[in-house]
Amino acid sequence: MKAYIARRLLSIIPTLLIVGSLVFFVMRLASGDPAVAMLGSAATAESIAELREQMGLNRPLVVQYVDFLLQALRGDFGTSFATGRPVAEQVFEAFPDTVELVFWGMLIGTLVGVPTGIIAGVRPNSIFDYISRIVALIGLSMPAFYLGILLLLVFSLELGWFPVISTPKGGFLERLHATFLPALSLGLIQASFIMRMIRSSLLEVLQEDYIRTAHAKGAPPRRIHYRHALRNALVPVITVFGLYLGTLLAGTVLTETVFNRPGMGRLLVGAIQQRDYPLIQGGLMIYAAVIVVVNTAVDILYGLADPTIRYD
Amino acid sequence: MENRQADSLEVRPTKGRSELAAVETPRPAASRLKALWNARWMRRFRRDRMAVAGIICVLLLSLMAVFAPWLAPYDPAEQHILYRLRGPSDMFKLGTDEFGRDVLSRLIYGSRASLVVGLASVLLAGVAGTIIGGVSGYVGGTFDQIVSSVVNILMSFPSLLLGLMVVVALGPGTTNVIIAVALSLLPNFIRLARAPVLALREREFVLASRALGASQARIVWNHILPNILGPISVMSTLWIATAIRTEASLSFLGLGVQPPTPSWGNMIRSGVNNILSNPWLAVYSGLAITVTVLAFNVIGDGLRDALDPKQRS
Repeated sequence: MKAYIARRLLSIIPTLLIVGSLVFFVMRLASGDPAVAMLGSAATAESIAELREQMGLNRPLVVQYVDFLLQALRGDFGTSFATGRPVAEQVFEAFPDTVELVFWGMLIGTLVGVPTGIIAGVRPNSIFDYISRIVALIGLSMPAFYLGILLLLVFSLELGWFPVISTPKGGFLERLHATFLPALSLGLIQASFIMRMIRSSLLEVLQEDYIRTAHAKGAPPRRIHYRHALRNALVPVITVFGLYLGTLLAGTVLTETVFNRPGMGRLLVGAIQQRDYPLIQGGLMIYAAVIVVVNTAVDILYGLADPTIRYD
Repeated sequence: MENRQADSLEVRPTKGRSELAAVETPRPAASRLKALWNARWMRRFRRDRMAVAGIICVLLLSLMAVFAPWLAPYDPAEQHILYRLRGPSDMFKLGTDEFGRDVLSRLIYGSRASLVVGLASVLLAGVAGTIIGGVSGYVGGTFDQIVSSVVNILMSFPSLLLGLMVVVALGPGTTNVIIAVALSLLPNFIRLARAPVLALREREFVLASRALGASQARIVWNHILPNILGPISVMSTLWIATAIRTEASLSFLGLGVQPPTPSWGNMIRSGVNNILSNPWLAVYSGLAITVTVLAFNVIGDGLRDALDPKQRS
């Protein structure tokens, strides 16, 4: 088990390397010459040449690439074109707000999705199953940011229960009040994914021989459902949890825009609109790093939950 | 009335003759279609009321996209400056946006962007992914290892983030959005095509064909490809749904289809920007996205259930 965990942890390095390379070359493709991008097309040739010298753009691309990776490893992503402040500083300022949103979103998604999935899976084709499946199908098809807009229209503009602009400030309750609607919109969409996954996984497990054996030996259904079936049904759900978290994280980009909420997503979208390449680069790297780390953690959890899984 | 009856009477014998002709010399395309229609999975699919409703919905949407110029009451880019941000009225059935453009007309034309981006990107990713995945699985070795590890990494990234990255590189615009969405779906297709090829490569009929001296191209075209197209086409339907959602998201951020070309995504954007003066603006286009994506999801679910009745979604 220790070797497995160590291998998984080590695999973070090549993964981040590939992602880092992807981001670096995509950004080069995008910006062309960063010096021109920074100074604008009106700049003189001399000032561009000077800046190129300053930024080290005269060096071979390979050297710049290695340099970028080494700096990224130290958490140095350069300075933002727009604000002149270090990218890392801005990213880490925005990060907690996004984490807060993702946390509440995931919590709502799990609290709603898991029980509904279990009830629907244990009683397939019941009215509850039927209704929850239709609701989940709609949730699956509705973009989370659209649900956010609908919630905003009803609960903020019409009823006035929540602020129109979500600013996470102040004490715990005030923050929660500001975060609730965006988190709810992400969480409810998430819940429909989780519900469907748990339901189909549970249905599959309930067909297994050992479930029939348990019934045959006279075990009470409740015990069979929750002891025998659910535990095994949750194993495949763990694997997609990382994927769900990634989707949720990406969804914050849109939800933060709808609710005018500060965070990584707003920072990234703003950077893209202002062509602030160092900030885009840093933002994408942080997203990528978080997703890679989460997926590795999920992989390790999966290994712990299902002892029959062993990678070599 | 009598004339029409006479017409139909005249037509009938010809129809009978052509049917007879078909029996004598069976037309492969028609008989293949008939076989497909009567296939067991197709019967199951036809009984799935939700899936059939999804098909009808997609057909109606396609008709709407094709006949948009005849259905839309106004030009979608025409600005009625005096009627900006109006609510629904007799003149503008669903109201107007911030430039006084008719929302209903834009909604009708917007179906084009969603369907074109959805279909084109899935087609692009499907063809490229099947080739890359198929070759990777068939050839194996180091190439396969590299491909599958890159795919594994990209798979863990949400398609929106990959799409964002590509749009940043290429810039906004409809063509670039198609490329971005296609690239974000590509890892899925590669993985989907690769796994069965890996297994098929070792199957007896492929080995037999190789022993008989069939060329590589022939083996792939005649024996491998037909066997992987089933799952690929099912998942394509579900990924059209994802593609439409991704397009809407990118356009919502102002990075996708650019105004004045209407897309449901950029209409939501203008709706959110004017949410206080005309809240309905965002509601309509979001509803259109939801219904379209729902239709594709339902078809995909239905196909999967019909093809693999053991694993019901």
